[in-house]
Amino acid sequence: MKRLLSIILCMVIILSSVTVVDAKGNKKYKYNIIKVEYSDNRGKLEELSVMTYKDNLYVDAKQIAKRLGYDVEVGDAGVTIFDKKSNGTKRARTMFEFGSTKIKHFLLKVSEAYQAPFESIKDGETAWIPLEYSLLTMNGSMLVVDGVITIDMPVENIMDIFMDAELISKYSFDWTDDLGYTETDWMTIGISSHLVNVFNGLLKKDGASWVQMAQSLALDSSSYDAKYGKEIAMLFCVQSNDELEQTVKQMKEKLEYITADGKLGKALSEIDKYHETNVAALYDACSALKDQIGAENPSSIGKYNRAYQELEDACDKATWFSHTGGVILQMQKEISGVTKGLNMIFKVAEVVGYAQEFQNQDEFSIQALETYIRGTDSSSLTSKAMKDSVIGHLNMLKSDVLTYSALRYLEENIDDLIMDAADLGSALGTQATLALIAWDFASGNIKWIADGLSSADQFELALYAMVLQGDALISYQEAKEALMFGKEDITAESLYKVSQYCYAYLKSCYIARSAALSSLEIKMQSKEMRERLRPMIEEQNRINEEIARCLVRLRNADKSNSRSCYGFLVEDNQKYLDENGGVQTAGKQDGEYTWAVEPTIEADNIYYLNGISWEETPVNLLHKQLGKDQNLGYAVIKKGDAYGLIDQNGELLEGMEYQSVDVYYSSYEMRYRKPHAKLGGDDVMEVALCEEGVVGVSYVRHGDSTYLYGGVYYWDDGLKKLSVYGHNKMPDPTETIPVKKGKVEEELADKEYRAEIDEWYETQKGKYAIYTNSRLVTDFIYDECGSCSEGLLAVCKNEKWGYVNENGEIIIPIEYDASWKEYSPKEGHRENGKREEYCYAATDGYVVLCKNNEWELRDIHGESVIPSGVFEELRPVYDGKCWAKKDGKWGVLEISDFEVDDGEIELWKQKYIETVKETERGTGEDKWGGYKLVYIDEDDIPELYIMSGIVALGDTLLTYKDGELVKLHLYSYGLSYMELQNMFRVGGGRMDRYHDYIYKIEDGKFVMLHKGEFGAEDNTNVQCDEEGNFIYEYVWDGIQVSKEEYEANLEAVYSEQEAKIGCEDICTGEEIIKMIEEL
Amino acid sequence: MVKKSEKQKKRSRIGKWLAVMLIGVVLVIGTTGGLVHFGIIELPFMKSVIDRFQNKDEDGVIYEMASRMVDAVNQNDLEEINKQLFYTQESLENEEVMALYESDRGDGNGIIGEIIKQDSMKLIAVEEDVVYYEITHPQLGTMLQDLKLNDLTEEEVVKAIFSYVKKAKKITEEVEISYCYEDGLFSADYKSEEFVNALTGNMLISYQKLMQEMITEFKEGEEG
Repeated sequence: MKRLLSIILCMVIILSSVTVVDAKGNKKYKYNIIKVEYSDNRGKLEELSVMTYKDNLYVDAKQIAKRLGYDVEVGDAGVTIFDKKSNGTKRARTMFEFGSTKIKHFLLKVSEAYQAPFESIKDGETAWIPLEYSLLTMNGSMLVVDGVITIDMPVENIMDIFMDAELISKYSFDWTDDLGYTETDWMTIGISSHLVNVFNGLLKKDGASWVQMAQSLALDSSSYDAKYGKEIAMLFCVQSNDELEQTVKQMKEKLEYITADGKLGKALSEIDKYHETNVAALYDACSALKDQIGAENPSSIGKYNRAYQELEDACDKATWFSHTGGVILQMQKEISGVTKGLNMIFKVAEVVGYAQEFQNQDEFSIQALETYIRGTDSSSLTSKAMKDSVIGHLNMLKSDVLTYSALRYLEENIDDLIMDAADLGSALGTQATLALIAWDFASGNIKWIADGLSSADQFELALYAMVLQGDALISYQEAKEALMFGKEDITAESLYKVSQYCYAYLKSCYIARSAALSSLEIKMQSKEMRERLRPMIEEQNRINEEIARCLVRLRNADKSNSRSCYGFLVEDNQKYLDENGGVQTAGKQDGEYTWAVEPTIEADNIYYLNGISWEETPVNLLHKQLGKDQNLGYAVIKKGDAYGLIDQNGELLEGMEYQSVDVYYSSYEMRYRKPHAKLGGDDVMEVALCEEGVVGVSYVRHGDSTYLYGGVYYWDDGLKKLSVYGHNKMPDPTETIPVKKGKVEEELADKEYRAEIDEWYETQKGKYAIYTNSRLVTDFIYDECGSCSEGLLAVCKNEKWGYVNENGEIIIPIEYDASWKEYSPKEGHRENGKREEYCYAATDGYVVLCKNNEWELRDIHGESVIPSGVFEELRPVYDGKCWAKKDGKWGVLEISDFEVDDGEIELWKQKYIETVKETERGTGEDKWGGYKLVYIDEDDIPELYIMSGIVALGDTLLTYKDGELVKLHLYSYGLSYMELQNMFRVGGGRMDRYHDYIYKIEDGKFVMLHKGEFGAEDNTNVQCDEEGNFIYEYVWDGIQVSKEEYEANLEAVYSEQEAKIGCEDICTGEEIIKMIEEL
Repeated sequence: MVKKSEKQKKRSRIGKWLAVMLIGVVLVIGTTGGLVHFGIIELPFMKSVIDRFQNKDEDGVIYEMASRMVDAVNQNDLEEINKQLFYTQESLENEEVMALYESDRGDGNGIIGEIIKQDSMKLIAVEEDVVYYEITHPQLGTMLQDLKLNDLTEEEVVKAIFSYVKKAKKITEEVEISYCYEDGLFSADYKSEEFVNALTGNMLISYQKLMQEMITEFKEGEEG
């Protein structure tokens, strides 16, 4: 319910306040183009195609994925979104399955099963996926601010670091590969250095691990280990220059979410105007904005949206006053003096943000180093002495980390930083400042730049850092593999551990590289060497900058993934579904259905009858209830001993006065319970049937069948026919039929009486098969088989029922009970005669099913529409409605909301095909006329033009709307139309009386827009002018006009030059049927 | 005294021959076993039988796992050596994991490969928690110091090192390696300094000295 409300709110906001550039849609899918603001283009609105269906908001998968920087492929079964890699290849990221809520999302190269809140849909060539949910899988998110959807562009998260296949090759430091020492360079340093380099090259030829192991064993000296253990611990746990710069950059990016350029910033500005410029008031302003946004969005959106998260942080009192010791309050005086208005909230947010970042650095780096060192075992390359030394200094750092941390620096200098520089980031980012707060120790400065005092130390430190690098790499890989291939689930907690190992590895790469670069100071004495080494040093510094970016991201790791630092995990999927009301099934819950007639009608039963039409319909087509055209909308209602006919408005036909209602020939036969005055005469309690007439019976003629031939199709080494007109005197079936095997004795071959034919067919034991398009598509395996309706046939096997399609494929599994207890075999008709259990045929695109007395409704594709257990009983759907029993009473449900688009499309096709078959133009001996599909209006369903080829008959134009065909009779050859412009002309006439009618199609009706007529006043005595032309009168829309005016008027509304001619490119019936099926 | 019939005499002769043959077989097996046990001759099957009596490796599984390194060395299979040295059995059995290490494999034309060609190895014994190997290897403990590499080009350095390895005298050492066998997973500490030095002919000792010289050189260069 919460989800439904929130989505409706979302929809109302979007559709009511956002500019709709173009809107069109059929009954089910409503398409719109809305304006959204992307975070990489703040302040500007871009168009996005969306679609709504069943209160769900979809987005065009191709459009959104490409805009977010991904690749996308749309297939028949689903749509796949790919990550683009830097080398041009792509890696599958997320797969959405059509017609399903199933999603496959890749984490660490492993495919995990996710579930969307509602199904993805393919409509034509367009793939539609859930908007908000798909953004989360693509590392984006959305927020509705003042009626505008703002979309966060994806940013790289920690998972992207893990998935980077080139991480190791990019960032591991290697003397030869990275510093590229030539032979001469090494000679300059020393022969031994050169030989080490050569030897390492030889070792590497047998595997990179040999180099690391050899170095590790060669460097194993406890005195060295103890010395560098301290340095490594220190360097590991404080921010480097590059990391600080990256932190500043990250902070600026975060603050942009709430700056004045974007929608959120503007919204904040609006509120800001009304507040005084002091910190407490600004906090209230932010809170007010948060409340406003909360009302516009479902509660879960804020959790995933970065802009909202920044706003939350910006006005989070707990954050303001924790750890910063009330810095913000202290700042108030300085802030109000230096900055005004909106800048103040940004300043507060900035300070708080930096404080959080620096605190993160301290806590995370210490934990990461400790996890790594303690996690290594005896096979580690790092010596025990080194590890003990690191641990020893780590403990010291834990207790006194503030001495060395940027957070301490921030707190001690915040006033000056704000006074001196309005931009805190710039202040923190200056080189001079960095030298103070980065790598700065209370005792013994280690300077990394210039003066070369410790180049040798740097060199040695680089060697040890490389040992650490190799070791940390193994630990990281092992941890990642354990997660990818082990039994452990990929959760935020398990990823946190991998993050720590990854951090340890990357930080050791950074330290090794920095130390190695610093050791080059000794070589920078000559200008020539400086010039030669500059490109290499710049490249190495660039690599370290990249590493710093990764380190800053890794520091955001947390065990709960509260800020989606790992992206959208499986556990987040479940939380998202829980917050949004779970997965939406096709059916609704009780209380959410629409009643056309409220369930207040008391009755024992409401059901439908099957027909008999001896002369006109083959037996094979009679195993189903009367169709809509035949039952006239009536069902039989039974209450005790009383029967009646009731329509879907709940109205009875002449009350409940009958003791039976049956079908007899082409009528409902309704026998009165009491003598009826209509027939006059005697009190007759018993009713006798006689040929001439019956007493106390009313006949209500039901609709006619469309068939002309009675008889039966059966199988005897091929399809055989037996009809009242003789053996094989029936046309071939034009639809799918059930058949049984049979053998006709000679005397039966010429039977004229339908009753004997039917009787003979009933005696043919054996099972049924399905026959379609001149062949059997199944074996003779079914105990019973209904007649084809909506492309489905009910089949029975071992007393269980299901449905197959015209190809014999099982669409609804054969596991249901009989849904129709009132099926009458031939002899069962009249006076509530024999009844058999059967299954109702599919109608209007739906099928009712019953299993263990629980009723459900599915569509003709087998998809659930009303799940079982909601209603006590259900009946077939007609005109988008069906009878349903609820709490012991009957009502009529409105099913039109559940119409499935595919079913709708299939229905119009079926209708057209049936019409073509019935009219049979262009076939047979005459071959006159034909058919054409014409696209007059803009919808996807074409109109059907039937050209009779016979002037007397004229032509017909059909359009389809809501399950019905609407016809317009036309003058022969008189149709022309302006394609897709919803305008057509019917011209024609004879004997000096002619017309031009201009039509459009509106809501399924043909609406005449203009009426032009011309002709002779007296067509028995037509006058001519001096040139011999007939003198006609012209009337346009009821007003007499001249010929020129008539032609001008016609030209003004209808361009014959642009129009297409209806009778060109006509097809035969067979051709048009194929064309329709292929659409 | 009853005279024996011809048949009885024949039986008696056959019996004697059978007894002689049986004694002969026992003597041969026993002698061979002794010769194998003392390493005078090599018969792997016999050795494993003896070991089974001596050791508690009832299933021979540990023996088989410990023999993989022996086979790898004797067959100059550097890839297998690298796998045994650097990866766990769990990783080895996982194709996807091993694929991740693809880039770690060298072309096999380095110094280690050259040394392995000169090595031979035996599995002496498998005891509880410890495996004993015997490794015969060239002596390379002062290789990088013996070679006057100062004035050589890189190509000449490589040639000199390879030549030294081929010509170096060989010695045999016994190495003790601790192992762990649990839940079907065998894990031996092949990365110990002792084993790596034995495998590489103590080359690491020479490398260690070179690294120290390099660091000293750097410091002297700095001061200069």
